[in-house]
Parts: sequence; C-alpha cells; structure tokens
Amino acid sequence: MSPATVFFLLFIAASLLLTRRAARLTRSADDFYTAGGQLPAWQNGLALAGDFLSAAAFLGSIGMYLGQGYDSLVYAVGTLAGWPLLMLLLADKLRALGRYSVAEVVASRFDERSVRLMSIISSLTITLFYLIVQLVGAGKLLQLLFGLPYLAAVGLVVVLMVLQVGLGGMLATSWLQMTKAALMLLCALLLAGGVLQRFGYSAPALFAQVDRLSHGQALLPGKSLSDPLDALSLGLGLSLGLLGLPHILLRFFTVADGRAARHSVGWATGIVGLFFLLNIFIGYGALVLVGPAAPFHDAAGKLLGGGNMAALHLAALLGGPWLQALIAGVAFATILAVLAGLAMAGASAISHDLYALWLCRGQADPQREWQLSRLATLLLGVAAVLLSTLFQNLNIAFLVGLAFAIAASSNFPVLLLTLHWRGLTARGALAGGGCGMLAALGLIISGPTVWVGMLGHARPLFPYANPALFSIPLAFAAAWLASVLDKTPGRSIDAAQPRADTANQAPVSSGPAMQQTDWPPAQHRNRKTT
Amino acid sequence: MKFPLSSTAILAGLVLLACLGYFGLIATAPALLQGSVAGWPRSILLALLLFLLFFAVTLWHIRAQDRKSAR
Repeated sequence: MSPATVFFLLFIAASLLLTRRAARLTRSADDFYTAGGQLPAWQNGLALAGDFLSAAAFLGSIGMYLGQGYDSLVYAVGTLAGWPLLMLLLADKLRALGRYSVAEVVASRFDERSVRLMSIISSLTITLFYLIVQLVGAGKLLQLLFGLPYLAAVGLVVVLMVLQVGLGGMLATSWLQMTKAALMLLCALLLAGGVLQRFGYSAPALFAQVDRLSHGQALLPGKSLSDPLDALSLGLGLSLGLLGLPHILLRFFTVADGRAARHSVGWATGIVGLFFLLNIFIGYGALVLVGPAAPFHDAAGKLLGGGNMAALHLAALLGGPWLQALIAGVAFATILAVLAGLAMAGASAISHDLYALWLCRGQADPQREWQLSRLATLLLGVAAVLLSTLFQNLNIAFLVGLAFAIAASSNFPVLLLTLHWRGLTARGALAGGGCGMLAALGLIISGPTVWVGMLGHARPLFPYANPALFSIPLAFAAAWLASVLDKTPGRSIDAAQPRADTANQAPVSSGPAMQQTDWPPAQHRNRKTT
Repeated sequence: MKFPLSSTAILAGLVLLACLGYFGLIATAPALLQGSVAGWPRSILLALLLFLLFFAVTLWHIRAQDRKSAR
C-alpha cells in the first residue's frame, strides 16, 4: 500500500469516526444547525479558519507563487483584511440577532416575505456556485492525487459530505474543520521549515535566490494588477466578499455570545495570517527548488500535474513520499471540510430559511424541519454531483469570483445596513440586495473573464475583471434611495426599537413591534448576549 | 443615513483604507516596492506590515470590547 493510500484511508476513517461521535451528540435542531451554540471561541476560531482555507488557499496559492510570484501575496493581503472588518462590522451583532442563519438577522428587522426570499436566494446562489467550483476542483485534485476516476472521486467526496452533514450536523462539520485547520498549519510549518533549512534558516538568502532566478520579477506585482481601478476593485471584492459568505457567517451562531464571536475572529485572523506568512516561504521555496528541477516537469517544460501540484512536488523534494502523502491527505481533508461547511450552509438555507422561515412563516415543526435539513443535504449533494459533472470540462473559476462578488455586493450591504442603519426599510433592503446581485452578475458576465474569455467576443462590454468597486456602491446607493423614498408606514419591525448596534450591550428587545410577529422565537430573544 | 464615528468605525475605515491604499500602490507605483531592507524585499515587508496591522486592529478591538463589557 502506497503512503498516499495510507493517509487517504486514514483521513476517511477519521472523518467517519468524527461523524459517528457527532451523530450521537446531535439530538436537536440547535445541535444540528449550531453545534448547540456553545463552542469555545478558540475552537470556533480554528473552525472558521478551516472553513475559509480551501484547497485553493493551500495548493492554489503555492502554485500561484510559482507561476505569478508576488501576486499570490497580494491576494492574501486582500482576503486577510476581511477578517478584522468581519469582526468590527458584523460578528457580535450577527450573533446577537440570529439564531441559526443570516436570513434570520434580516428577518428580525423586516417582516416582508420578499426581503426574506431575496436573502435566501442570495445565500443559496453563493453557496451553490461555491459548492460546484469546490467539487469540480475536488474531483480533478483527487484524480491527480490518488488516480481516481473523476466521477468516483466526486461521488466519494459527496457521500462523505452528505454523511457528515446529514448525520453529524454542525458538530461533525466543526470538528472536521478544526482537525483540518490544525493539520494544514502543521503541514505549512513542516514545508516552510524544510524550505528555510535549505537556506540555512535565512529568509534573506531565500529571497536573494528568488531575486536571482526571476530577475526581481517574482518579488514585484505582475502586469495583471497594473490597472488602478481593477486593482482597487479586486482589493475591495476580496476584503468585503468574506463579509457576505454564508458558510463563514454561519459560524457566528455556534458560540454562546458576542464576546465569543469576537474572540473567534481573533483566533481565525491569527491562524489565517500565520498560514499566509508560512505560504510566503513555501511558495517562494517552490519557485526556487521545484521551478528549476527537471524531474517535476514534462518534455514541454510544464509542471507535472499543473500549478496545484507545486506543493506536493516540493513536499516530495523536502521529505520524500511520506511527507508528500501527508500533504495529499491533508488536501483531501481540506476539500472535505470546506464542502461540509458549504453543505451545512446550503442545508440551513433550504430547511430553515426557505421552509421554516419563509414557507411556514416561522411556525414549522422543529422535528420536521430537522428531517428536511437531512433531505436537503442529500439533494444538495446530488445536485452538486450532477452540476459538477456537467461543468467538469469548462473553466468555471469565474464562479468563485462571481460568488465573492455577489457576497460583497448583495449579502454584505444588506447585512451591514440591517445591523447599523435604522433608516433602512424593507424596500431599501430589497433594492440594495437585488441591485447588488444583478450588478455583480451583469458586470462579471459582460467583463473580460466571461464575455471575452468564455464567450469569445473581441472586446468586453465592461472593461474590468472585478466588479466590486462599482457593484458595492450601487447596492448601497439603491438601498439608501429606496429607503429614503419609502413612505410606507411601519417600514421596519424594530422602527421603534433601539439601534441594532446596542444589541451587544443588552438582550435583544421584544418590544411592541417585535411582538406583532412570532419572529425571532422567544428562545432566541432570551439568548445570552454580552 | 447616520453612522456614529465610533472607534469601531474608525478602525474599520483604517483597515479598508490600508487595504485599498496597498492595492492602489501596487497598481500605480510598483517601482516603490523595489529594493530590500536587511535582505527582506520591500514588497514582502509591506505585506507583512499589513498582516500585522490587521491582527493588531483585531486584538485592539477585542480588548476594548472586553473592557467595555467588564465595566
């Protein structure tokens, strides 16, 4: 049995054991959706980092250092900026106003079904796009790593994902993400340590070698970042996109209070930052050690297996087949953990938001809702397998950009204004979310990535690859304008309530306006807040 | 629309400005990132400084809010 097969089977066995244990502890909807809402901050921080650090952040970014040098670090800076913003603008307020999902937070202010539906559609669209991309990537990566046929690889991953989420719910997902984040950090430490050892533990010696090999080019931003508006748009989209990703936001409901939510982000920022720091040494290490090594290239001079395999080739060079097998196993665990997080967000959006919140208007039978969430996980898995098989030969990397753009342009503005601006009305939320989503969709389709790259037109209708700089202000402007022009009486459930940003100092009020609806449920209103 | 200029808003503005400033700089003046300090390329040092800033802002806010809750 090869080392890769040993680690592969080991990680499958470990994930099934975790699922079995979590399934025994999952006895209620609270357990299923939020792991009981009592995860310690450090564990939730580790799980947040695990949810965020996908195979793209691990294998993809190291491949990017090899191909595009410094640009990989530019992406890391943009995404890391999202973490403090997430904590400052959303974390504790989200925790105070939501119980199971982000749509609840919007629903806690607006009784309009259309606003709830828009929030659900936006969350489901982002989750599904992300799920398809991750699954196509997973299928291809497992083909490369373990020689499995595409359909078998995708089928295996989805079966494990459905078992984990369907049986173990958020607890199994959290444990898997924590384990995977810790393993990823360990792998990064081993690889970075191995690279630095080759240079006498001197980072300047490594950078000097990078400078010599690339004539300084790998240490400077590339030409793709030379357009100021496009670069600013990329930075804005990377940093604010994080604040609208449903599977990330869902993690704030797994802790007891706003304080734990803030501390979770503190842990996650530290872990993600440390990982990106280690990636600098690993990425540049791959550039100077794997880049010139003939055994890792084919006759045409291309890297065997493509850029995603750079980290694995580096591992083989530094630690032999066992280190390479460990990295491959952790890459598999990474795929599984991110897919589980996405499936959890999707299941929650279907069973809780769409069924219980929207269709049953908050009056659903909890047992039935829980059963539906398991069915939703299965349906999501089947849909993801079908769609990923359909799209396996297309370049669908733009879907990640689209998911990030919708998250930044639709989910984020609505959430931010819902939590911080009393003047926002239901029509404003609808206009902001709708405009943001349509603008992100329209600008990406008419931009160079899809219009020229996929549809084969000579020139793009919209000249920039990243729409955030235009779509986010448009969403805010639409929300503001529609709210200001809205003369409907009783425009917001909490119109007579204190500002939402006092929610972290006092329990959420259940004043007269709130009592007119059965939402949020009494249990939620009485939950502990700092 | 009224946003109070609280410390939270100032910190959020600082993070966003730093991030956009960095993206603006790499697009408009990449030449400023050439060269090194004690063997470390300026471009990498700048990125690491931003990492540090983001982490420091996170810790600052956590401590400030914890103190506020304790009072």
